[in-house]
Amino acid sequence: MQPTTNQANLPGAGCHADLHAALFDSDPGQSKLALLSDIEDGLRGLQSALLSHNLEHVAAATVQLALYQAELKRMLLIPSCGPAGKSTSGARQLRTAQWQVLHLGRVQAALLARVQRSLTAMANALAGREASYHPPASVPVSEFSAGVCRCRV
Amino acid sequence: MSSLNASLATALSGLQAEQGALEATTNNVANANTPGYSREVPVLETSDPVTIGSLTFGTGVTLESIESIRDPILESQIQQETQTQGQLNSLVSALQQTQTTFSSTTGDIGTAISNFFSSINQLATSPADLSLRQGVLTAADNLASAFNAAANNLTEQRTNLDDSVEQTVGQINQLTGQIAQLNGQINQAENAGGTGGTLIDQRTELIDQLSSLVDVSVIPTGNTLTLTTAAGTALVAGQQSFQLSTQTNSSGEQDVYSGSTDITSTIVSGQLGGILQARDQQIPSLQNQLDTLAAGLANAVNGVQTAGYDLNGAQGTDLFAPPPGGGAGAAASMSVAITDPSLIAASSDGTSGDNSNANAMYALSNQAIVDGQSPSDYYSGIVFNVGNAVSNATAEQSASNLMLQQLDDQRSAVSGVSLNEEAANMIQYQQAYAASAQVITAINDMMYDVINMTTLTT
Repeated sequence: MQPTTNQANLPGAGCHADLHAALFDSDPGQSKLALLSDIEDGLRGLQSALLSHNLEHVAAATVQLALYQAELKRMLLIPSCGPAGKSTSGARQLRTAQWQVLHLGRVQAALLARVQRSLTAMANALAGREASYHPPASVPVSEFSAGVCRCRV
Repeated sequence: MSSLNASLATALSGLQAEQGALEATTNNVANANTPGYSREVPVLETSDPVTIGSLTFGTGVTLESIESIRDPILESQIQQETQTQGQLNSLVSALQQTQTTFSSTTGDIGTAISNFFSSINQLATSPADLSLRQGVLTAADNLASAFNAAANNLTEQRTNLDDSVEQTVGQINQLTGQIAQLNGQINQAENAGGTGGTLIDQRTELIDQLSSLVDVSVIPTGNTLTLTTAAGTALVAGQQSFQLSTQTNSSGEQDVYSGSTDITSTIVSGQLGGILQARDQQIPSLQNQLDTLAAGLANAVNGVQTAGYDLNGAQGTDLFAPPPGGGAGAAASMSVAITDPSLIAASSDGTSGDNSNANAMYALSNQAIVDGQSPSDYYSGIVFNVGNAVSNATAEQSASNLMLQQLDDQRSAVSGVSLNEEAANMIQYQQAYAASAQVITAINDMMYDVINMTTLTT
């Protein structure tokens, strides 16, 4: 029986498979650049999803980035994948891409902190003045009391 | 049954209400591109009906008020993010300026350290060579100059930031005065039954400007607002504004005061917060590190120099002027203490051909003589920390800009003027006005008929 979840079912898995092939078949410097470029696109996508509060897209983009991260870790373990690439201009391109990804990662962290703050503020505002030990307004008090009684029994 | 005059009054109320609604639309269209303008909507209500016998007749419509559409939570979020943005803008600007002091140029400290030790290494190859000895003195002089220049740049930057503190406090006072004045006008307008929509827009715009300068908490108080800093220092209460002031502290820098209370350390956000953070934390920390490096390097070199012998066979004297005790100000005051190249102590035994002490001095370049690190490593650490601080602050700034843009878009969606919607409203009010006018014409005809009927009857 086939497993119900595999990489092919995950968002962007087709692209991921292509990338994997590219990583091990071609010039490591170029492959690394391609991966960094994909991470950059992924971070930008995640950024706009976060800003527009598109939670579905945030979840999908996060899964995609986790896959890229795993790929990057795997790539760093391969000895031939040196950071410099083959040429000086290649090394420069790679360094620029690395900085860009680092910057976007930092921006993402700052955005997440802000969104977290605003969600906490919203949760507090919605919680109202009272502690949440009372039944929600939509639940009749009688039902709640019955539940409490059953628990005691 | 109601009279024709009553019907006429009802139709007239329709004319007046639609005219008022049309005025709101006209004002919206006129302000479609005004920054901070909140669109206005007419609030129309049915007038109280009258009952005659068993029948109840409507008496038309009343234009109750013209309301501006605002989202207070969104406004509060925008003000909060504007404060963060203001703080980050001034911090990033200051840090970028600081970074140029440590950027890699021919005259920077890193290069000067490297050149200094390189000149000593060259001297070790021919310790009696006067031109090589002169080369060491020149390199030492360049090193001292590099430290002096960096320290002076940082001091100058702190002075400039200090001037900015005074200017920013002046701007804050101006804005709080204007906000207090507007509070009074809004209160007056609302007590007179109006809404003060345009005045509230102006006040919101001024609060946004104030938020970019200092951390502000907005507390609605009746028809007016109370503004305090995040730490609770009153800025505006109703129609009264509380001026901030600056006073020179023992270090010769400006502290911010509210009345007789020093609130400098409580200001953490807005442009003022960023300026204070750079002036009181970031730059002093760099100055300390620079002093540690200068003092460590000078003391270590002097230690080796005084342990050796010069070209004349005499005990060596300090190469660099001894740094101040504790190291504070060591970078700014660093200087070369000798001018005669023969006084460089390259020898360990007093013979002119011995290079042992020059080698020992060169070995300092790789020894942990500055806070457990070699001079070059310590300097690299400073450069890395500055670069890292700039990168972090820039990323925070980008996030803040993105967030603020998003919030502004949301505000525009809630409070902005949609010309399409206004065009539709205009047609709607125009038609309703025309219909009311038609009713008045019809009533006029009916009255004419009644008058004619009366004339015929008599």
